[in-house]
Amino acid sequence: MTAPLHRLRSTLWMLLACLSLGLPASAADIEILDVRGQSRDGFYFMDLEARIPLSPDMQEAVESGVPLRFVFDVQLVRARRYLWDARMLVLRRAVRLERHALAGKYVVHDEVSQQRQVLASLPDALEALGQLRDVTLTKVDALPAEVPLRGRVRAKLDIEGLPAPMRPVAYLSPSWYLGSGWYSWEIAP
Amino acid sequence: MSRRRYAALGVALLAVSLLGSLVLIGAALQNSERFGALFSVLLLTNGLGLIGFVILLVSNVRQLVGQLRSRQAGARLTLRMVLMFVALSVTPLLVLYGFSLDFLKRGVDSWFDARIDNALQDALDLSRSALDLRMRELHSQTEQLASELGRGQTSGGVLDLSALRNPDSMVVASTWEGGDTDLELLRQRAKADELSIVSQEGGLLETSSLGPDLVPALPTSAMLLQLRQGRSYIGLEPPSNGGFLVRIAVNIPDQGLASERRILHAMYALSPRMNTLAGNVEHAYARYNELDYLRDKLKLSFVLTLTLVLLSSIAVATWAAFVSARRLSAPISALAAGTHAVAAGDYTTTLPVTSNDEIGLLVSSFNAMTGHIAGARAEIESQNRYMNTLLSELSSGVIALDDRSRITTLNDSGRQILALEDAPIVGEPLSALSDRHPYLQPLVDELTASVAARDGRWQREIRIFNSEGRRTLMCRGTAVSFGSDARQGQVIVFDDITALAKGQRDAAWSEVARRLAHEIKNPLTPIQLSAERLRQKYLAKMAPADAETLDRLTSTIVQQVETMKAMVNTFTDYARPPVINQGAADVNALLSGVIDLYRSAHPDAEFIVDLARDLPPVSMDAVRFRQVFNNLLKNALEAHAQGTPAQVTIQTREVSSGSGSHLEIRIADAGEGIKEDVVGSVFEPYVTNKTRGTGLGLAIVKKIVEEHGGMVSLENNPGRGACAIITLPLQPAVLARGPDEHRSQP
Repeated sequence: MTAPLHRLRSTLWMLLACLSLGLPASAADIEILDVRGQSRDGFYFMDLEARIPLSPDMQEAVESGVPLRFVFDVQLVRARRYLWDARMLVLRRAVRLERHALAGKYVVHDEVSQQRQVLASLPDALEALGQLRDVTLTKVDALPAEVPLRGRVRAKLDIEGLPAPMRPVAYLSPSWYLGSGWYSWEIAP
Repeated sequence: MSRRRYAALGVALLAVSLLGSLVLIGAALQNSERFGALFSVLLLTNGLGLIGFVILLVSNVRQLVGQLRSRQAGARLTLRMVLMFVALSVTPLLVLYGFSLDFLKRGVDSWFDARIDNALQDALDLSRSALDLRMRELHSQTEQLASELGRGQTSGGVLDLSALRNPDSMVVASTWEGGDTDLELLRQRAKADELSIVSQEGGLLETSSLGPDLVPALPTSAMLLQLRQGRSYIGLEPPSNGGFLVRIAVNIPDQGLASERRILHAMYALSPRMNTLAGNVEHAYARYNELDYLRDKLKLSFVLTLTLVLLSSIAVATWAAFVSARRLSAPISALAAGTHAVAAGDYTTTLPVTSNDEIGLLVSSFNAMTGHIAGARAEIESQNRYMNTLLSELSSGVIALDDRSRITTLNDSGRQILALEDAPIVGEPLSALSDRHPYLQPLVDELTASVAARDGRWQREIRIFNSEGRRTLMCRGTAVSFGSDARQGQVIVFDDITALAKGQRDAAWSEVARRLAHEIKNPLTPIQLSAERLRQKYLAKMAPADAETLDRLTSTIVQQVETMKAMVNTFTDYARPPVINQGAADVNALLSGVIDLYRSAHPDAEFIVDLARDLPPVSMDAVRFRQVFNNLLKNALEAHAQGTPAQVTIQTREVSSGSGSHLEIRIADAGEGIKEDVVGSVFEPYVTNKTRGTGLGLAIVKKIVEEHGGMVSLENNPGRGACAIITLPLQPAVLARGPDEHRSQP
């Protein structure tokens, strides 16, 4: 789906999201524990560690064979004094969690790198889901020299990745809102 | 194309797109791969479109309510048509909606059956059992390989896997070399996809792979822990690209205390047939399980979509009802507005003919009707103008009254005769005439009485006194009917016959005088001469006694004949055509002169004189008016009883009223007053209250006053005595017209 369409959809659903403000809030949010950035071999990499708790509704969905899609929005921004931050890089990484009934295993699939991890239990799968390793962000040469940059990342459950019949309920139910705030880290020039 | 048509086309396109997107929503629910990504956008778009339609409808409803409140033509018709259209369209929609909901729920529920559920679960268990059997075989085979490896000896250090994972590193490619090693032979013999020997910590010692994968699969930490506990690992890997894989890790038996414990890690592919069957079972089970989980959500989504369809259909139908109702009622509203305009008197209304149907025929007929009415109205107005011209040219006054005695017509001559100003009087009640002009009270009273009597035709002579003096009006009335009902009005034609009446009266009295002179006065002289001759001839010859008798008798005859002559002369004077020498006279001076004469003749009488100062000169014949004052003063003095002191009050004053200024002269006595039965006729000839007198004194007074355009009346005082009141006009017009008018009399 294209970015403008996605923005339009997000904006439109804000209206419905407002309707759910009066309902109880979700039990827990995604917690980004640590982000480590490093330059290696001319590239800037990022390692991320996050704790992703699933609500009972989400666990039930996964056990029933519904895949859950999580997206990690990564941005490299340059702070400006009088204007909003300039975004130097915008990157989205999507990871899918699904259960294989016959094998009785949980599969964590990175949609970008196409890497799969097969886990025997859901906690192991969630731990693997919250760990991104060696995510290549950009070439070091592409980063502006002597300009302080800041990286920030957030994670959330992609409701649009759910099957269509689930989306209206998911948009209107707080138990299906799972995400984190922006987590920032400094990037040394 | 008009703006309204553009708007209608836009709304119609919106409705079509709304319904189209609803179809897509339905398709997205059934086949999420095609339209699933657009589901949310479509749902929101429909919701917003629906809100837009609701706003449109609310706007239409508000507009209609406003039209109903202002009682705009066609609003109620539009309301009825909208309600009818909405009822006709919504009722089947609601029925269809109810049935669809029921079918939907039943349909979704029918997808799921406990038997299918059990069958799928059994299939899955069966697949697992088959795979377990195969995995146990492979486990035995791997343990056998591990035993063989344990008996043999392999060499080599631990490979650097981190270097292997880095695709940019060229070190790995030079470090690891494939070849027909012992492990390769074992792998080929065991038909494994991959065989690896790893250390107890998970380090790769040696590997052999069927495929080109550079990075071999390694046991996870959980597997290593299980192996360290002496238990082998057997697991089924979900298919990625090449189908299911069986992962087996076993400890390689020890060769001695000094050697390190190693692990054999093997990956086996299932046969294609087993892969296909297991994949089908897995796919069917997963799909069914997911659908079972989504059952309620699916129902909710279908209900939501169906409700959106229903609401959109109702909104579109209602809007279409508004548009259709307005389109249908527009010509009727125009007709109603045109009818109102015609009712209000606007016959120039022409409605546009927009269709060729019955409504168009009706509009054409309406236009033809208004055209005919406008023509007839123009003709009536022309006739009215002709009638008005005719009436204005009449010398007679014409008043038309409706059934409630309101004035509907008063021509110019009527206004002139009644001395009305130009203020509009048409539409006012008849009494408005006397309210505005009190001198018309006699006329209004007479007309009211005559109209109330409902005589078919009537004729009255009515006297009024206005600024021009006393006027005599001859009124002739006729009842007329209005329209087809029984309402009746009156048309009154009146003429000012003042001059004519005077002429007739003068002519009548002249005739009387002529007859008197001929019949009475002429024999008197022979009688008188005969009596005088008798007296002269026989008086000296008769005895004194007889002579005295003769003298007394002849004297009486002569004296009575003289009296009769004087009476005839007086009557002749009264009947003589008036020759008035009018001129400006000072009434106060004239009165004072006459009063002085009576004062000297009647020193016992009291004369109370109250003359107004600054009276304007009055046009009158001073000689004749001296006779008027003389008669009235003489009457006043004679009204007192013999032996009682006479008291005569003389007043003059200027009186202003609605009809102008008048001079009022009052001469009052303190006598016995006038008998009530003769009050109305004391000014008629030969009517007197006295034992002596000709009975012509007051008649002459009246005659002279009226010849001057005035009025005279006699009334009893509130206390004692009577009062003669003379009212004379002070208008200059009388000065100019009076002499000429009177001289013209025959």
